[in-house]
Amino acid sequence: MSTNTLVSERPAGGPPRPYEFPAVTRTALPGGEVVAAHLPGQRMAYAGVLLEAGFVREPAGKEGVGKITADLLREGTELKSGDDFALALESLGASWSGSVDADVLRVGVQAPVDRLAAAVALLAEALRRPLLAENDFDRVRGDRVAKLTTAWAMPGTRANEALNRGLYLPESRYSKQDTGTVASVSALTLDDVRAFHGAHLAFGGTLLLAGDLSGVDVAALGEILLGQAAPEVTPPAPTGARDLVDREILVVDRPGAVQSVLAIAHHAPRRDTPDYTAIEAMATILGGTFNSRLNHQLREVKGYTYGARGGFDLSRDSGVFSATASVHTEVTADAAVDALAEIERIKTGGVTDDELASTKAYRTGSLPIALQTPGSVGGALAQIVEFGLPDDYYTRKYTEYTQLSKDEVDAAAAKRLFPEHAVVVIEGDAEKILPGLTEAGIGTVRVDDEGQA
Amino acid sequence: MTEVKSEPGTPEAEKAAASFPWPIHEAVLDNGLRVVVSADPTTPIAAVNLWYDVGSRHERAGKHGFAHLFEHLMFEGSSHVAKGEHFEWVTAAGGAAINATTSPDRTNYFQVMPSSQLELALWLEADRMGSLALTQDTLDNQREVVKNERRQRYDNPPYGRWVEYALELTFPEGHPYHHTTIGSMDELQEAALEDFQDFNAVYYSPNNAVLTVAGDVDAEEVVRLAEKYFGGIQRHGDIPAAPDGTLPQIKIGETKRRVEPDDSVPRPMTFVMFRAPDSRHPDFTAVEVLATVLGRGRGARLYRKLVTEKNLAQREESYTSVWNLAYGASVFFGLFSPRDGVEAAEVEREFTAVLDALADGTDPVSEAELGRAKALLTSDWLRAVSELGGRADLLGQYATLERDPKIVREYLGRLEAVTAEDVQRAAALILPDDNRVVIEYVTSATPDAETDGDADAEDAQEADA
Repeated sequence: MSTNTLVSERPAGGPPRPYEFPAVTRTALPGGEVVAAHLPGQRMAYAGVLLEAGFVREPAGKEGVGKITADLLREGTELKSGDDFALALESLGASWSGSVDADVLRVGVQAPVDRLAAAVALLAEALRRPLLAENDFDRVRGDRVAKLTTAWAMPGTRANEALNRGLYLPESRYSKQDTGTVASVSALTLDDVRAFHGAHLAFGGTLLLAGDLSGVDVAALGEILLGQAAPEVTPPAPTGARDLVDREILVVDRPGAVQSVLAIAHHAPRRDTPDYTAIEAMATILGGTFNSRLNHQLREVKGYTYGARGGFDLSRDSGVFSATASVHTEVTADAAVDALAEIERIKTGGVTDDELASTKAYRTGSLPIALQTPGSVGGALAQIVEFGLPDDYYTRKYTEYTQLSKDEVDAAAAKRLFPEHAVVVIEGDAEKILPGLTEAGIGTVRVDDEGQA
Repeated sequence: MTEVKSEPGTPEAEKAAASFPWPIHEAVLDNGLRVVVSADPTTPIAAVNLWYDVGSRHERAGKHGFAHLFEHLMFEGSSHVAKGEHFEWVTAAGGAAINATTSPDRTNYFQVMPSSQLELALWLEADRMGSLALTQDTLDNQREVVKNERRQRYDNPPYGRWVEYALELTFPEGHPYHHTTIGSMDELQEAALEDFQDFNAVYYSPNNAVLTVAGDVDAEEVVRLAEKYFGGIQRHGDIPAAPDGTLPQIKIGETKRRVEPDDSVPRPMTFVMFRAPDSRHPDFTAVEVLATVLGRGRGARLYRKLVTEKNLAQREESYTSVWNLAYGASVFFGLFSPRDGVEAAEVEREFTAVLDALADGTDPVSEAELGRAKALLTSDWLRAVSELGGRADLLGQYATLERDPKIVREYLGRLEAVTAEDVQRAAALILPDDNRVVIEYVTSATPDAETDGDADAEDAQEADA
């Protein structure tokens, strides 16, 4: 193999052709808007409805009612049993999706574009005219409880739950799991579901469409779903963030675990923060790619983990920074020390010119790669609507990144990272990891056994 | 480089155009590297994908997991690229979707680039094909990373080892599919640098690879660039034949059962594995249809019977599924978890009854079921080829496994041709109880474990009942 002749010089390549997000059209109807992106040549299409029904709308004690309501939509309508509904949808080649975050709930279908109208009619039937029957509710609630119980046994779930309690006051909705707890879901009744549906899902919303819309009557699809306006909703309760003073190390015991789930988190600004792009660039350098500082140090230098990452999750009213890795039990304390040191290093030292140049190229160049399919463009439309971003937000990102300076990114690191006040949760074998964590001197170590599935 | 075209206007041509409407251009370099190009200027990006015809099925006894560890080492540097720089240069050029995967059959390496940066990806891939730096330091580091991958995916999560247990019973000792790709902790610990130098010398040769580029490119230009960057790499010699995966028969011959008492799992769960015709067998598309009819989606038979009608099992995204292993036999599998208060044995009886009714023809596949399955599989296909990365990987797959990338055009036609009788034949072969491996996780809270007591726990370790 020594005889191989290879080109020694790395090709410089040219600048990427600027990317333009597909043109977005908006059509107003009595119940809300249709927001549509035309993708010429795509044979699959996405249609989804975005509703003001995020988990912040769930009444206290009813955590998880949004998720269970979304699940029940497909279990039977006024016209069809759950089985018949599934057969009708799947016979179109269509698949169903549903998701809930803090602010919004989204249900949708993906279907071949020549069957999109039929799939949207089924989506409307499920969303607006669900049967919500007692026996279906009992079965779905049983499934939800079992799913939460199963998730509780999966590495990381308990760490995440402890983080929520570390970051938010007990009365805050954000202090509980996104899709509810075993206790809250077990206590739900069909009346709770009907009330939530009536208040948040029965009317209104925004219809998102992504696909080759050249043969699609967009307004007609809108009329199927958006005939009536939604009732006014009151603003959600305050987020209830807990003040973080000294760094706390919470150990969640998982006897016999061969890995520890390490999670470091603290508060962050809301999604509408003016330095969003600078934060995104900084987070990419710290923990957003394979070559990020966290993954490089913990995986490629030390071999502590299969992967480490960090980033910001920002919603309308709240924001969280977190860094996570699953690390070998024996090196848990060392990994925590290294991860905290990387966060501290970027906070005080900023980023390098090379890192910034590389991140700008990555963030702009990879946009068209991430937005190739109707499903991903549908997700981008959901972001635009959820956060009130301009329709050409993804096209503008190009310019924003081009203009982004090192000072802005360094300022984001200095201003938005607080490793000294972070909540550090480590889910692992307490007996094995406690001595090392105490000795590491990174904060007061406490075993947390308050978590509830 | 000649294009085989169907006559325009015929139904075959229409199906071919529906399966894969983009051009396919092929070339072979003097060193044996096969180049496949599919141009599509819609978006200014290009997928670059390499399939190496080597996977865990090529591993010898005592060396399990080495193909996958080698894949990790491919990112650790070469003559002109330092450790970590493959990712660094690709992302710095605006590329994304960079990774590699190892399966029993093959190893693939891929990234998607802005099309103006195509040459960079070709240069990086050529440099590691032609001059991989294998050092003790990077081996030691990546061995720890892979051990953590194993802990994260297999050893730490509940039920994480079920596939290992099932494959050991589904394929005989010594068969290429008897072991998982992740391999064994002990054997990885013993891995020496020479093992990987040998592996490189034998398998990572241009004549054992297919380079596929799909996207905003000119086919002739890509072939010219492939020659520029890969043309100077010497072919290592003939690739030794892979261990033979041929089985005397597709069927296992009996039902094998492993009962796994485990109080670290949240609920009892049963996994069932069957041997099936391999992915190159003419009946394989019928096997995919069978898995969809039986166990995929809310409208599948198993969901309607076990969840809606009888209320015995937790709902699952997928009750049955199939892998596309290509040599000798593939794997069809299913799973279920009983509802609280329901015994696993009762769910298994109903689960089996649904399979039997299909296999013995008492409840044959209806035209509506066939139509539903074909519609879902057609949408899967359209989704897969809608992304350049997926498109390039399918071309690499067909070029490697079937020696002809243009077979990518046959998929929807093959799917359309599947009849209820084809599905019936596949069911009758795969599903009966002389072709079954059952892995049953029981917890001490479940009736099974309470009545059987501790003696059974020791028997279960024998891995064959």
